[in-house]
Amino acid sequence: VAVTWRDQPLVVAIAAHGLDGAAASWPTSPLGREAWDRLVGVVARQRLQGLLAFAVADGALPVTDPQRAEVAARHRDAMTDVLHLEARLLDVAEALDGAGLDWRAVKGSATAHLDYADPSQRVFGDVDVLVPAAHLRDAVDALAGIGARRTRPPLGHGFEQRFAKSVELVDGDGCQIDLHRTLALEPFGLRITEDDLFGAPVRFEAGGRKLPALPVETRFLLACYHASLGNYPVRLVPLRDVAQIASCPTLDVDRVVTLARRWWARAVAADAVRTAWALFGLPADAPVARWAGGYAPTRRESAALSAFQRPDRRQAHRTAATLATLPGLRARAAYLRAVLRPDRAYLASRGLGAGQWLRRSRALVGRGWSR
Amino acid sequence: MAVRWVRAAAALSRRTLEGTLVRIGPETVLLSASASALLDVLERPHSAEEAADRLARATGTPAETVRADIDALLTDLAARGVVTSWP
Repeated sequence: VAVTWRDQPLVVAIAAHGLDGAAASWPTSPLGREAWDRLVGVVARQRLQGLLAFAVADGALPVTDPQRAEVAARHRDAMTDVLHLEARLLDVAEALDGAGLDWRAVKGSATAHLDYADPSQRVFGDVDVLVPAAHLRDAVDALAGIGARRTRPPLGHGFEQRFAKSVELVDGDGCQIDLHRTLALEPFGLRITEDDLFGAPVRFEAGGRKLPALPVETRFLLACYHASLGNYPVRLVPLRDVAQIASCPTLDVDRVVTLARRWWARAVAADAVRTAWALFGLPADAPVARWAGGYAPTRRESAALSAFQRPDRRQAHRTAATLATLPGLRARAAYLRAVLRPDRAYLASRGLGAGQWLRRSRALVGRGWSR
Repeated sequence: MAVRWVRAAAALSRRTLEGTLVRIGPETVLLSASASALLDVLERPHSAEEAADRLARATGTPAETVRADIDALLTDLAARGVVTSWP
C-alpha cells in the first residue's frame, strides 16, 4: 500500500477528506493541466468523485473555475449512475420481498446511507445484496423476474450454496447485481456464521422504502474484508469505508473483536485497520486502532491473508489456502472436486474443455500449494 | 385551506455541487439551487406560503421575492413528480 500510494499524497488526501484527525496535505494553489488530468483520472478509477467534490466545495482543494466545473460534472455523472443503481436496488428489494426471502442490502447504497455524513460522498458501481445460502437459488429465480440473469452457470451442483462468496447477475441495462451468500471469498468467507448475518437488521430509507441492512459491527468487518482481500493493489474506497465506519460513535469494538474471532477474521480486520490508519495518518489512540496494533496473526492466518495480497496467481493461492484451512477431509475433497471438475455448462461459458481446465487447475493448485 | 406540499417518498436524490440530483421513475433531473433548497424544506409538509417564509428566513431574501417565485417552482416540481400534495 505504501509503495502504491506513497507518491500520490493528494489522492490519499481526497480519499481521507472529512475523516477526523486525518493527516492530509493539500496544495496551496490549483494544479497545472497535466497534474490535474492525472488526478481526475485516478479519482474516477478509484471512485472518489464524491469526496473530491466535497473537498472542492469545502475549500480544502484549491481549483480554477474550469476545474471546479469539471469536478461538478464528473460528480453529477457518478451520482446519476448511483441513482440508477439505487433504483435497481429498490426493484431487487421488491422482488426479494415478493418472494418472501430474507435479505440484507450490503456495501454500496447501504454504506452510503448508513455510514457517510452525506451519501453523495460515496460512489459505487453495482447492487449488492446478501441472502441466506439455502435461498440463493430462490433469489436468482426471483431476480429473473426483473430481468437479471446469471453471468455464468454455477461451477458445480451445490458449489455456490456451500463455498462461493456470491453469484453475479446482470440485467438488460448492464447493471451488475451481486447476490452474496457470505461476506468474503474462501477461505475466510467459509468461516462466517450465517446466524450472525441474519439477526435483527438495521434499516435505511431509500425511495420511500425502509431497506434492511447489517448492523454497524458487521458492516465494519465487511469493509475490512473488502479492503484486505478485495483487490491488489488495495483500492482506496474500501480503506475509507474502514476508517469511516470505525468513526461511528456506536461501533462496539468488543463486539467487532468477538465476531472477528468467531469468523477467523481477526488478521483481516487488523490488517485493514493498520493499513487504513497508516495510509490516512489517523490517530493511533482510536480503540479499534489500539486493538489492531496489538494483534499478532498466527502463521496460518498470515498465509491465508498473503494469498490475497499478491499480484499474481491469487486464485491458485486462494485455493491452496482454502484446502489448508477447510475443516475435515470431506469438505476438502468436495471443494477440490468442484474446483478440478466443474460442470460442462460452466466450462462452456469459459470457452474451455474439461481437459484444458484440469491441466490448468492442477498446475495452478500445484503452484499455489508449493508457494 | 392552503394545499401543503411534501417531497415525493419515491424520489431518490443526491446532493451535487450544481444542485440536487433527483431520480423519480426512469427520469433523473438536476434541480437548480433554489429548487434544491425548496426540496430540503419540503422534507416535511408545508404550504407554499410557509415554505416561502422558511426559505426567506434561511437565505435572507425578502419574503415577497421568494413568494413570487415559489408557485412556479412548485408547479414545476409537482409536474415532474418530485413533490406531491399532502396528505
